[in-house]
Amino acid sequence: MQDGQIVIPLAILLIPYLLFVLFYLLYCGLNLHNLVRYGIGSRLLWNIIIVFSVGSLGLLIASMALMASFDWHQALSLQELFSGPATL
Amino acid sequence: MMNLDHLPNQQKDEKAELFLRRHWIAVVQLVFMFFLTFILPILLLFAFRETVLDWLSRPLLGPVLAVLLSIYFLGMWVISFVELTDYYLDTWIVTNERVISIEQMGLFKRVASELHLADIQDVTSEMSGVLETLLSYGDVIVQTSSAAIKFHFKAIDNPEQVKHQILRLVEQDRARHGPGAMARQAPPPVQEIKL
Repeated sequence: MQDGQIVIPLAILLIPYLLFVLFYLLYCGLNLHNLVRYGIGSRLLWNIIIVFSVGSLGLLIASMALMASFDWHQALSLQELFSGPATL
Repeated sequence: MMNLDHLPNQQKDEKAELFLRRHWIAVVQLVFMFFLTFILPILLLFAFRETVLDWLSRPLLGPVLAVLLSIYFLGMWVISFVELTDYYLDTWIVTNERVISIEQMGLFKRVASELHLADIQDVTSEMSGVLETLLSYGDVIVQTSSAAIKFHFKAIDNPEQVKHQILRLVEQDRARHGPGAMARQAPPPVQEIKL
């Protein structure tokens, strides 16, 4: 709290994001594992694996780049939040 | 990785005669859903990029929108590919000795069964629906003498042709080996006694 005001750290939004990224990596890994272990060896399979791996990594990097463009150290007070739409 | 020339429990002189997956219409449906849930939102974001960039520059709305968009697009990507993997790993292999059914159900469940050709009693093909009739795809059900054991090939191409091929392979197998264990153990037909 600052000067009697309740302050919300912006970094709190990173918690659900990072939890989701953890699940995302787990699911991507398991999906790749199933494809490699149980797939019938063929050019199509390798194309699927490459597209999936590159796409998954690319999307994750793009997402993290977007998240990195914000200053997560700043905090917002509840009073500012409810003072009007301009502060959102 | 599995190799069709080296199947699990492969017998001598056994070779794959049919390798089946669901009809390509299943892939079209997946691609359509991917377009609706992934590509179309990206196109909409691009079309309204000035508004989106304005929102992203706001102190609270920007980070919240960034988190929501990231979760949405990452989620849609992984869901689409899990569905594609599900389609790709669902396979039915008919060799000159047995039928192998492999069904992937999500990421954490996989059911693989095999049935010897000599134990097959009945093969049924089903095509119902406008799309199925026009594109010639449907189901094939392979049944043994035991009602509890049957294989269900879902939404495969040319089910009638597949049925005939399986029946031909069954006849050839019976000519080589005789009736299977299940057929030999099947109870004799009940004879009605009139008093």
